[in-house]
Amino acid sequence: MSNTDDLEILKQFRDKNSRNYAFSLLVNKYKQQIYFHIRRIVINHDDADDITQNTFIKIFENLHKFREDSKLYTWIYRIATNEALGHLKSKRNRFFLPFIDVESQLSNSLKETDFFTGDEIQLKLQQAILKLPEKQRLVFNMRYYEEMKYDQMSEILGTSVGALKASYHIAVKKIEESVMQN
Amino acid sequence: MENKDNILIEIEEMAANLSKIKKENVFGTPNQYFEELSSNIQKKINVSSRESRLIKIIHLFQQPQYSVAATLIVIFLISGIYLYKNKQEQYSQHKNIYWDEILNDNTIVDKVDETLLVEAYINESETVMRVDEDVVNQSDMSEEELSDFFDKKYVNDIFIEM
Repeated sequence: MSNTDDLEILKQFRDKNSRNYAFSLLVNKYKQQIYFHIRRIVINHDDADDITQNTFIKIFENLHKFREDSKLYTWIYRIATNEALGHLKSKRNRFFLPFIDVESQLSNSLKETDFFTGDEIQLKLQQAILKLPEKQRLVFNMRYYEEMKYDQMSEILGTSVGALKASYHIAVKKIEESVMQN
Repeated sequence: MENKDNILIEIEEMAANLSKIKKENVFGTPNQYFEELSSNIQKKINVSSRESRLIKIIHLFQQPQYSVAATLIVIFLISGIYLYKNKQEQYSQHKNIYWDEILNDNTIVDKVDETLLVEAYINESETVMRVDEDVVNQSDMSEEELSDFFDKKYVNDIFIEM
């Protein structure tokens, strides 16, 4: 679907009679992308499911305020990213865990999860990604797996394209090193 | 597609070894997950809009003017109920006392002079009998007519009494 479709969804959402239909179009269009974006951040399926649902509820409650200063796609991703990072933050605060512990907890849960479909090398790759600082991990996933352009990422994360390129470069080098060591 | 190719070239240039690892989505989901996701979101939206209506009402009562009005209404209601109950209790207590007094009070019965009561009854009966005798004595009626007269009179009295 192109950006024109987003405009059509917005137009229909603003009409009370077609609001629910427009929202169902939006959910069907973005649900998979948003779910996997969140899942790569929080790893666990149940958490990803909760956060995905909350993200769409927030979208529904706030879409009438969307002023088209940015693209709908960017706005949706920003909400999803904030929700997922907020979840990790609250997890850290809840258990008084330093940053590294939550990430190692996620790394351990990779092996235990019923819905991890990768082989040994894929597991090593994911564990290497989880060793990265949060922002680098986010940038790597968005570029490598979600194949986003730097300017899109820049709008979502509020970081300059140059800084994103540097982050991605560092992340790739760290991951390669970590995978080769193992 | 152009972006996809760029990303592959980029990774080959940056990390040749890493580019050899097949890029795949390693995160699976339960069966039918995405089919059910839409309806789960819709259900949550319905619940959350009901909750938000409730929250709006709560917020409304958090405003000073509404909270004062609500407090006054509650005070009036409680005092109204209290006063009503109090009145009811007073009335039923009063009623009980009144009947207790009547039932327990022997003064009225004590005041009645039984002799006078009996005399009054006898006097009244005698008067009736005397009237009956006068009727018999002064009447031009035959014995049969007189018998009919008394039959009717006492039958009527009985019916009236009944």
